[in-house]
Amino acid sequence: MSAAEVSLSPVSVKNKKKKKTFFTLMLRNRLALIGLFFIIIWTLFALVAPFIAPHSPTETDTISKLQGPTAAHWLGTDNYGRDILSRILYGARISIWTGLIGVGISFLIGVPLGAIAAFYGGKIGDFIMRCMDVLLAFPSLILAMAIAASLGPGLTSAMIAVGIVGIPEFARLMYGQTITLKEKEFVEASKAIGVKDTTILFRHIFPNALGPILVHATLSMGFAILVASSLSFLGLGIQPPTPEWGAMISEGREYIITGQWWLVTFPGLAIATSILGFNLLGDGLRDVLDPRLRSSK
Amino acid sequence: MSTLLKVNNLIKHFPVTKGFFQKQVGAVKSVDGISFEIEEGETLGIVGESGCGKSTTGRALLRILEPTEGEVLFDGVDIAKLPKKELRAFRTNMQMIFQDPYASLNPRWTVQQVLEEPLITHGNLTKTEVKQRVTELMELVGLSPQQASRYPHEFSGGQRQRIGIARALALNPKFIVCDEPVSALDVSIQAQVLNLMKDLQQKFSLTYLFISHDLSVVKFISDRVGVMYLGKLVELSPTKSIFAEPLHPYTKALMSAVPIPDPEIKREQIVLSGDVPSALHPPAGCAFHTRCPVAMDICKTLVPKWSEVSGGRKVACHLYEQNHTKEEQGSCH
Repeated sequence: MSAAEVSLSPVSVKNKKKKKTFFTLMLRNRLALIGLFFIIIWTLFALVAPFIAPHSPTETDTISKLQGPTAAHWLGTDNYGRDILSRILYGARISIWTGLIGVGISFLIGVPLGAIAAFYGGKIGDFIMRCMDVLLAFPSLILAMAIAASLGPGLTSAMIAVGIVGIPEFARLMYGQTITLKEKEFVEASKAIGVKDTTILFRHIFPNALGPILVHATLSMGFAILVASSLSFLGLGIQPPTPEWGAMISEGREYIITGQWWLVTFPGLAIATSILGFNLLGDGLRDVLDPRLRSSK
Repeated sequence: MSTLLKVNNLIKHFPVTKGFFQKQVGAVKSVDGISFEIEEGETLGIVGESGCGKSTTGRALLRILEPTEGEVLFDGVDIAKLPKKELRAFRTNMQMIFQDPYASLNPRWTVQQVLEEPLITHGNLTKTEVKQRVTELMELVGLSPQQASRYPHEFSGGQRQRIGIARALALNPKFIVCDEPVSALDVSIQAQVLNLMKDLQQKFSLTYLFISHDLSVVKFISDRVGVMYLGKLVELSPTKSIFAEPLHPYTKALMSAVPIPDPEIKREQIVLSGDVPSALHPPAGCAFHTRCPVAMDICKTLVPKWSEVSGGRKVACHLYEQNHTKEEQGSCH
């Protein structure tokens, strides 16, 4: 976006320009592109898993169990002789989905709670934040276990449990952001103009608070996947033999000592790359959404 | 000239709470009962040290902060008691220009969006009318309308303050609170912005409440000047007389601190000892008696009355109350 271009194209083309710059800026942000690449790859794998997986993810073959990478099983087999590649491909469906939904729940409940608590303050604010403190007081895994256990085992309850555990952190973060932003003069200016509170929250405070929250959301994706897999390891989340990355790692743990590294390495890489993808995309989005961080050339 | 704004005993206390149940243990008396009037079309300057309640006064007048007590009559309407909905509509009459041009504009909004906000909130203008008005406003404050699609960080401090002024003018208000509008700017740019504000005042017959700690700026722009100390007005006089002959001891000390650009002229400087007392526990009697070079016994116990001395000059000091009563007694005989 050159300076000359801006001055020649005033108000009339502004909206068109804004959309265009969002994508061009996104395309120019190399790290964000790498992140997007990983996410797209994993989403594709998840979608077409039934067509590209060489074996059934649950088919056991005790004769060829615990085999290293071979031509028949590219990434080896696990202790039941199941094909690890196929399990990773199918596992993408569940792991990424759990992460997205879990973080989505935390975000959608935590952020408004924090914003309301900070903006209106007083007794309501105290009440909300003390409730968040209560949630934070429990170790997250114990809390997730309690919630998942009370909801009954299954994918849905695992996602809800993961979501609820993440709420207080989002609320805290948004609370802090809102406290600083609501004292800013541009918020006072809007008040002086007579803008409604909800409009101020949505148009002034939320967009300016988004940066750190977006980064936190992408970071919690990894945490959500891990908690979900811990839940399934404890028998409270996804039930075996359904393939899930975290569960694959926990099952494969004991074989590291005996030299069967592929049981944990490949699902581990899957988790690492997908989380890396979300982190990079989150960082990139934060930069692109902030006009101050855009390069002026 | 008629009175536009009449402030009666305005009070803004910030409660200090303690413990889990938020029990109130005290209050910071930021603005502690001030009364003044502003005539239509004039500029009333408010000066004072930092923390004396200048900005709080401005914000309480516009109800950006809810006043604790008191009346703010704007054309006869008590702003302090307006219901929320009516207040929102009434805000078109009064606007504010802020101190920090870096913090007063949303960094994620283009200038266009900043200037549209008041128009969309209040007017039922069409899209093209809004755009026209934005162009008009930008030209009015000396910016090029082509810059409307830029973001605040692409402007200099002075330009940003112009955007802030344009936003305040968008709704054609009668009254504008200017909260230290030039203190964040370079001296060379201060003059430009002040001149712009003066021009706009004439053009639209605006009334300003001009808050500042810079006496020379206040001298330049104000018709009358009010001096605040610890949440109270201590003196309010026409600019000429307050600079020529300050009445209140605090004003005297303040004026003696203004440098004179002539090394030959020597002037006695009144240096006040001690610090400003805490607004949480202001001294009894006259708030200034702890630092006043001419304090008397009565000052420690009795709060001086806010009364007119002569020729539109108001002061709150026992020195002048005594004179006053003596004169009155003299005239009785």
